[in-house]
Amino acid sequence: MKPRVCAYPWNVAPIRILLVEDDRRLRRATALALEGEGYEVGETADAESALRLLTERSPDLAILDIMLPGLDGFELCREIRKRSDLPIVFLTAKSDTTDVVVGLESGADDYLTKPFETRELVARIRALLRRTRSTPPTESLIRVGELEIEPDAGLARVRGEPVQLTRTEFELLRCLASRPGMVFTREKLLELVWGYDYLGDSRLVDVHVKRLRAKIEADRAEPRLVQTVRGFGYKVPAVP
Amino acid sequence: MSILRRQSLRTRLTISFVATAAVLVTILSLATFLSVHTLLENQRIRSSTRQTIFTLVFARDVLGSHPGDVQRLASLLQSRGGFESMVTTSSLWYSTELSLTPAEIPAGLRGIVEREGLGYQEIRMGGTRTLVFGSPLPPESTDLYLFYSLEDVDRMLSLLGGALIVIGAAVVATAAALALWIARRILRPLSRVSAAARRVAEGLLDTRVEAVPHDEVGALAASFNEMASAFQEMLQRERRFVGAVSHELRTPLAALQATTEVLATHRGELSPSAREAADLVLEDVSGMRRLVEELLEISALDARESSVRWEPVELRALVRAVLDRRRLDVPIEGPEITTSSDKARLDRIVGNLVDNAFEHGGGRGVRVRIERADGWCSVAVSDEGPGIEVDDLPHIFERFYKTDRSRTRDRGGVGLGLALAKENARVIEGTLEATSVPAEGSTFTLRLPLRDRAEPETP
Repeated sequence: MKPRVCAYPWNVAPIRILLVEDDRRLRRATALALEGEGYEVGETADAESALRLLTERSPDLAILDIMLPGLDGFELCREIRKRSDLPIVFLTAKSDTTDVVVGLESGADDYLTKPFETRELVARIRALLRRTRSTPPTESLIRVGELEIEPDAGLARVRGEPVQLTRTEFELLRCLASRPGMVFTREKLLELVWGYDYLGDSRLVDVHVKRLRAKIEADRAEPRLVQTVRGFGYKVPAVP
Repeated sequence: MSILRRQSLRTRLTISFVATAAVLVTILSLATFLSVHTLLENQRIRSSTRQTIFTLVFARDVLGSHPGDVQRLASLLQSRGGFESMVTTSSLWYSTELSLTPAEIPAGLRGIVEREGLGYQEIRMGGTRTLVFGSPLPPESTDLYLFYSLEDVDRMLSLLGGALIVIGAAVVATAAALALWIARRILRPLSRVSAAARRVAEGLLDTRVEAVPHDEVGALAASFNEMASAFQEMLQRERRFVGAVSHELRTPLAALQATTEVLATHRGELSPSAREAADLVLEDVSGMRRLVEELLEISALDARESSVRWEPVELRALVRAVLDRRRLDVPIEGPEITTSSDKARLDRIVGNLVDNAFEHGGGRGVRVRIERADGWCSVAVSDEGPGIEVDDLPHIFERFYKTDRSRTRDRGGVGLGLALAKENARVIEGTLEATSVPAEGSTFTLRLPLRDRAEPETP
């Protein structure tokens, strides 16, 4: 018999998803589809109740629409980031505009363009929630120069000081630091960190690297820990 | 005139100006020259006639006091200035100049004198025009001839002619310079307008003509600016509309997509007729989703909002990935080539070409061929399907173009796939062309510039 992939880990508590979407039909339809995949979905139409649900239900992941009444998706995203490092996926109707970059810069981990298939949404959710990823095998402690990472504990220290990273930022840093000196292409990083097997948006990587640098680099204009290799990608230098 | 009409406005204007000036100058110069010529000659004839009569009176006096002494007369005439003279008798002749012989006297004048008359005639003597006056004298068969040189008149006329030619040339040259200057003055704003029109045609819709004179050309430029503004506004309105419509469609479509997918997961629980209905809805929703996505993409391409991400792309691997995602077993021929291009757009183009080969080419004998030529590389997708009719081939990249054959088919037509592929090819500086032999198959060839540079990117 062939090994089977379990869509949902029945033996643990269901994964809770916060869904913020003001269009009632889309919200219901998405909730139905996600519930069909075994997720527990907390629905809301506006930012205020979303923030309330965030503290009451402590969801594992949030899906936000950008166009919301009152506080919009970007502001909500920034509000959530002040309180939690849970993965955030935002939904946008425009993929080729600055919306995506603004959304990512306000703290989101990934995005989907409407209309999307449930299959895609579930794939994004799974990739963001997966703790162990198909990255090269790592030790219990990675130390590269001023950088110190404890993958199992999800801790990162720069020059001895612990830094607060979102899950995706942490994964990105761990991935790069697992092979010091090796250049990772954007594509490879999209595959390893975001779980895109093909043609993800490389802006995801660029914006996350920018956010990561803001947190770990002493001088953002001259990054030493995460370096750009022009025309190829990024690397954590072996001897910084 | 037909040759002239084919020249540039500047050349035409200059030629007309110069021609008019030349004709006018020629007429004026000729008129001046001729009237001065006539005037001077008449004057000379009048004064010569007067002098001749004086001389005749003097000669009659001399011959009256010394009858028969022709020689004396000749030597006395020698002392008078302003003319040369010759006295002839039936056997002898005396002249004041050695070169003067009776042979110089024209027959016509001699005839007048023989009939006892006073007359004159113009002759050419030693290269200069000369007036010869002749008259009989009282002794039998004795005639007096006086020679007045017109050399000074001729010198003056040739001087005048030279001056007129120089002035005429100067006038014509001035006319040419003036014409060129005027042409440039008129045409420079015009060429600015035409350059602006070209830029608008290239898609730079905010182009306007600036700093124009307040004349007819200025009015043209102003009208042009108005037109460009109106055009730009209209286009923007249309684009906003298409964008808004597609945008408004997205959210309900996303809801529809999610709902039908829930239906699909419960497909097994449905009755056979409900299942068929669910399948139909699912199919339509995915078709509509694709259409809206294509509409949005093409409106973004029209608005030239989309950016290009240049990065190294290995063509074979890209084609392989496109085929793998569609779970297609299609042979790929040709070498491995890496060039700098936009991966997402290339993926779109090749994907659309492959989809087209299966949807409209029937999927028979589909193959992909990668080639490299001088500075270029190409990806060609061929099929052995029904091919494209000759009449349809030039229109195959038009949006929603429907061929006669596909019209009869269920919701046939090429939709936006090939139009999108062509637009994307243009954006990544490539070309997309189709060749086809009806009943044998079609080939769509994407040509790309071969380059290895990586564009500067945002770090």
